[in-house]
Amino acid sequence: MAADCELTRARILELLYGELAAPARAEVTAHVKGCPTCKAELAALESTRALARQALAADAPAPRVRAAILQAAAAAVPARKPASSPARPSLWERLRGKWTFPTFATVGAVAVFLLASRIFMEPEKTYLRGRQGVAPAVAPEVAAPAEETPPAAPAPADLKREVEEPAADRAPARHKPQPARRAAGGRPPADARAKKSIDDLLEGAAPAPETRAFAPPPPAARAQRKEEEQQDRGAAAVEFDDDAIPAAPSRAASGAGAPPAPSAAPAPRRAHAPGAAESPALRADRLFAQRRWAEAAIAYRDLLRDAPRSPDAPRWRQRLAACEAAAPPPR
Amino acid sequence: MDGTLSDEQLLAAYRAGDVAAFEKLLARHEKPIWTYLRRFVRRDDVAEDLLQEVFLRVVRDAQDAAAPGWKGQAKFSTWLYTIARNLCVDRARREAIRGSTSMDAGGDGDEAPASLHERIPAPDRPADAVLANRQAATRIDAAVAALPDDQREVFLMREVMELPFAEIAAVVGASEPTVKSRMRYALEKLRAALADLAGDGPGGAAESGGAG
Repeated sequence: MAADCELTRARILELLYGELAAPARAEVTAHVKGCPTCKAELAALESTRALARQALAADAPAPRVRAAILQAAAAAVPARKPASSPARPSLWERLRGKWTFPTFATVGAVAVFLLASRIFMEPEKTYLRGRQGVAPAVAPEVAAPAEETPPAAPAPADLKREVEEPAADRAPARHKPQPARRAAGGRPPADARAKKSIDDLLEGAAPAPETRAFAPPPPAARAQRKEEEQQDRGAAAVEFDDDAIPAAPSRAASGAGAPPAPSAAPAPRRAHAPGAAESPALRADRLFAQRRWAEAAIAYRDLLRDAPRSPDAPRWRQRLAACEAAAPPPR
Repeated sequence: MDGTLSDEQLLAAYRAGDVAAFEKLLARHEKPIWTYLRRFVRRDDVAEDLLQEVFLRVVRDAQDAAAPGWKGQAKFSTWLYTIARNLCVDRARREAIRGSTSMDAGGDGDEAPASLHERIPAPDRPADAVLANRQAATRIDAAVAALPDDQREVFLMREVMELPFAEIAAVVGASEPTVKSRMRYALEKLRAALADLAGDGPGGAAESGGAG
């Protein structure tokens, strides 16, 4: 009997947890039934076990932990195909309705923002990159004088002075539309002008810089476009009026529709003779008025390099500094 | 219908993109694992982190076939509970290195039941059955917490996770007789700590627990 008790003691756990195979179970059970000691032992262990199980059964994780796990599990599967037809909408179906739209909306919003920032925030920068590839040596030489001038946009008073006290060589070419515009309303506030040029950008009224930013045209195409810009110049001068636009060349006075002579293509490197230098100057001012800072900066740099002693040179420097402040020169 | 699919089938379904299968796996195992973790680390916030970590391993394993994980070489539950145990053991080691109260502090848990008796007085007069039940539950919790780590984990795996002794041996890396021996010690310590509760009549305690 004592040997049976030893044996039972060794196996009582397995009996308790149902891990005894049938023949051994029958043997041990038979002994326990007839042995008060082993019977008491088994009863005590069972009651202890029942108590413990009762306490442990109350444990349950917080629902939010479960929710977080399920969310992670659902987020990990969208690449794979959904489950094969559960009768009710599966968890994935339910979570998809809840999470997919925000996900795509976020991705879309980020994409739009990146695109918009590339187009609208720094079109000049990207354009300059393209342009630098064509004319790489422009910036460093002319950047120096910019440091003397205030980095902010030119004060309206200065610009006004430029108009009211025009340089002698610009005087004869002064053009009608500008005084007319001035009489009509004078300089629009800066905000309004900014809005206007953005509107124009959106409407495509002006050649949109972003189209060039992504595909800088070859030099031949640029020359062609410069001619077109010369053509548009009259209209643009009206469209983007700026008090400081100094001089309207006779060609512009002849009307926007006048076909440009091939020889009239701008030659920014040429000497500062009124007939030849007026076009770049006007173009620079127009670009400035259109707030196309980077292009205007290049135009002013060209002007300053070609005609550093021009009476307009201080004004050009001032505007170049303003352009660079508005759109920092690349590297 | 939940019981018709094995853990392994559910895991395969989840790997094929069926999140509902994962939900079933979670429903099946979260409570035992939670109980085990909570009783092991003795802090609910830590246990919550670990519970998430256990199941995130399953998610990651399903995502990446190359990840070291369940490869069908063992029962899924064994693999899952091994993850849970390893997380607990790692944490206990880190705690020990940091010098804070270690999981191993109760390694020779002979005194623990005695101090437990002093700390938690038995209810003098169980006027309110619910209150008595709550006090009993508190005492049981304390008694389980007072078990040495190696005994407690075996006890929890057997009682909560309902792993057979052979599987527990595989998870904890000990022989099956050793596991049974630890289990036996654990049960006897609990029995000594809760003798008066059990003496009141285990059936009555179980009934009041079921009602409350």
